[in-house]
Amino acid sequence: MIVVVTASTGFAFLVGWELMTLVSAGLILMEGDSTERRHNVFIYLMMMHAGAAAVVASFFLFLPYSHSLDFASIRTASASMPAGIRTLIFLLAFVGFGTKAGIIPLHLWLPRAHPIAPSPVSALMSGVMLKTAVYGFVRFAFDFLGGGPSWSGYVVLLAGAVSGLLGVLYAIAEHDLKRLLAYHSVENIGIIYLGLGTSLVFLAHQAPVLAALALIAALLHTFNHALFKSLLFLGAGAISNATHTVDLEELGGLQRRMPVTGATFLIACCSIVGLPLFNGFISEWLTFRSFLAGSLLTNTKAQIVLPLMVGVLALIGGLAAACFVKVFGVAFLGRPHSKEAEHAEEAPLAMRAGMGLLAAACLWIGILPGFFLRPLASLAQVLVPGAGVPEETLSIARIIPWVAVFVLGVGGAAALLKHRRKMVRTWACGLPELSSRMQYTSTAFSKPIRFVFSTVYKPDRKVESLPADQPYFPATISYRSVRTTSYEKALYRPFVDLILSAAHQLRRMQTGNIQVYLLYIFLTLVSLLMFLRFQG
Amino acid sequence: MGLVEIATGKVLSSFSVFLFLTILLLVVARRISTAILLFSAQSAIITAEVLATGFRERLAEAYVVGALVFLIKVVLIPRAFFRLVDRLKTPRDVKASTTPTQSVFIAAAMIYLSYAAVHSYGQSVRVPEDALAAAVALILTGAFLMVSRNKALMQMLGLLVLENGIYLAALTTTYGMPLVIEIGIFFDILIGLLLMGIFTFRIRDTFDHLDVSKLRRLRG
Repeated sequence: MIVVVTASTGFAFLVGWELMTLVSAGLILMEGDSTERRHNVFIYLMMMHAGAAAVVASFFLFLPYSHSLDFASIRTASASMPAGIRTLIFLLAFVGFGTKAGIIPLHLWLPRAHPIAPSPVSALMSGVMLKTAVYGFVRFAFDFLGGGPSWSGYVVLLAGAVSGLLGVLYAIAEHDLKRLLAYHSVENIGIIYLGLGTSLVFLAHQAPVLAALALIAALLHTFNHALFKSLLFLGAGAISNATHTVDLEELGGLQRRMPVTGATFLIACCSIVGLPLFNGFISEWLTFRSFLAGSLLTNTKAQIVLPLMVGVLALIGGLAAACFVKVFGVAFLGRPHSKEAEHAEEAPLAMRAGMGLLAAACLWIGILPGFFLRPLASLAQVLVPGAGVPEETLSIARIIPWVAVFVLGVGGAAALLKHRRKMVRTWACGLPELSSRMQYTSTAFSKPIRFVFSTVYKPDRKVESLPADQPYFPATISYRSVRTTSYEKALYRPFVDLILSAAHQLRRMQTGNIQVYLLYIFLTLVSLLMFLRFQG
Repeated sequence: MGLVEIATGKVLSSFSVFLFLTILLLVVARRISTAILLFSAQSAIITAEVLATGFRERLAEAYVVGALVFLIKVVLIPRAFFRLVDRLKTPRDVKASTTPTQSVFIAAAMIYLSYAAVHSYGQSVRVPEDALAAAVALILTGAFLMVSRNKALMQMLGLLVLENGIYLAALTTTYGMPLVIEIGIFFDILIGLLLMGIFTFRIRDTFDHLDVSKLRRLRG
């Protein structure tokens, strides 16, 4: 991964890129081996290679014009390239890096690879590897191509909006903690792409200062996401270490047994949903500001589309908040849903230290954003020529520390003036004993949202009561609701069918006979000689 | 220029005719022992070419190399082969999948192709065209033998013929390689032969035959 971001030539970049894919595939497989695992890793590898092919192609398209894969020569060459090639390069880079970043509909591998990977690996993959994809895309779109026509910005914007919304909606419906977090990665990448798209739109409409603002927002969110998503995955790792499960339905009441994990997890949750004083807030706020600034443009389309994105981002934020209330509430509060959760123990010191460090970083950026905004602003000035430091970044850096002081002061005063609490038992509808079966499960918690958005999920609901011959006196009732959103089938089926049929055709060549293979070599040799003869 | 020099100069190109003869005989050979003898003869011709090159280019090393070629390819390998055939106690037929007539026509086509292929190259560089064509033809013949003969021993022999071709091509284009490289090549062949010999025994023991056309379970 370090090779990717430090590379200054395309070749080194590609080598690092491939190495990253292969090593991470190995890391995913570190915890055991099974058919399902192998299947998922295979999907991961396949999508990565398809993405890498697009990236390689986009690099090589520069070659006829730059004669070298050096970043500097690519940059100078791109100015003299025809518009068609530039468009092609942009789209290839968008698809290639989008696969790695996991924008919808190229995200298929994310929710598959994360649940099977060990938690620290998930943290690394989600926290750092996705970011290299964002880096690559920024490198191409801003550094090499120097922006583009405004439609390219809208494409990125649309991809960001779709990824953000669908990502968070799918996340709410999940009850496997790690898969949920994986869908949240999709959502956050969506937010980052929203920022990048806005920046491209501003750039196309000659508004460099605003472009820089949106770019800063996107880059800061990239960094923030690396922090809090790593923290969340490490928290998930601590939970699975203590309870041997990451199924939310089997957790509960962990706050009392794992206070440190709970506290750091809470900080991460607050950050990811963008509450003020946490780092997610800063970057989302800047993104909001850049959307609102869209109304300052003279172009009508941008005037309409960009402010509309405010609504999209607000919806994403709200749904993410609902989702993490669910996660924290079901996993850490209430009563344990299972034996394992009941006997959970706090994570070992090393784990707690790692999580504490990340949580501290989240708070630091959240309260004193100036430290991070300044280097990002100077970076944005490099990428967006002619941009000053956007006023918004300065103002937020000034205001937030005072807000923090104020909140801490009010909180401290409230704590000092706190009157004695009165402890009563929770009312349980007159039943004698509260049991864990009475509380909201993760699925139940997300029900209202899933109901409202049922057009998105297209659930396949099924109620079964057993035994079947006594419908009014059931012994057990099982209820099942499966998301059947089938764009995966509609989008990927044709590709998969095409590849499979091609593979079946090719398989005929594979007879298993040594001599046939030798014959292939022989024929190749003969045809090459013929070529040599009739060429010259 | 004495008679000897002229003779040696002609050796390189005129011996190619003998090489073509061995090629044509190899592709029609029915018995493994015949094929081994032909390989031996072919190697002897190549030894002569090595010595001729050494004489013409005034390279003392070439005589050592020639001696090595003679020792390994004319004496050692054929003897090892004969022993292998004895020990394996397999029928002596090569199990050709093409008839002799077809084989001869294919061999002729290959010789024509190799002349055609080296034609343009031979004019531009100072190499005897016949010898180079013979080298390419040997490579093709080796490959052809490997493809069209079903007995595992013939795959080994085909590889050796192919190797002969590569060796001859190297000799004619470079006028003799350094001794170290030559020794490395010979070592390579011996190890390869050893491995293949072991594997033929394994094939025989596992499947009770040496017919590679029946080994087709290795497929996805």
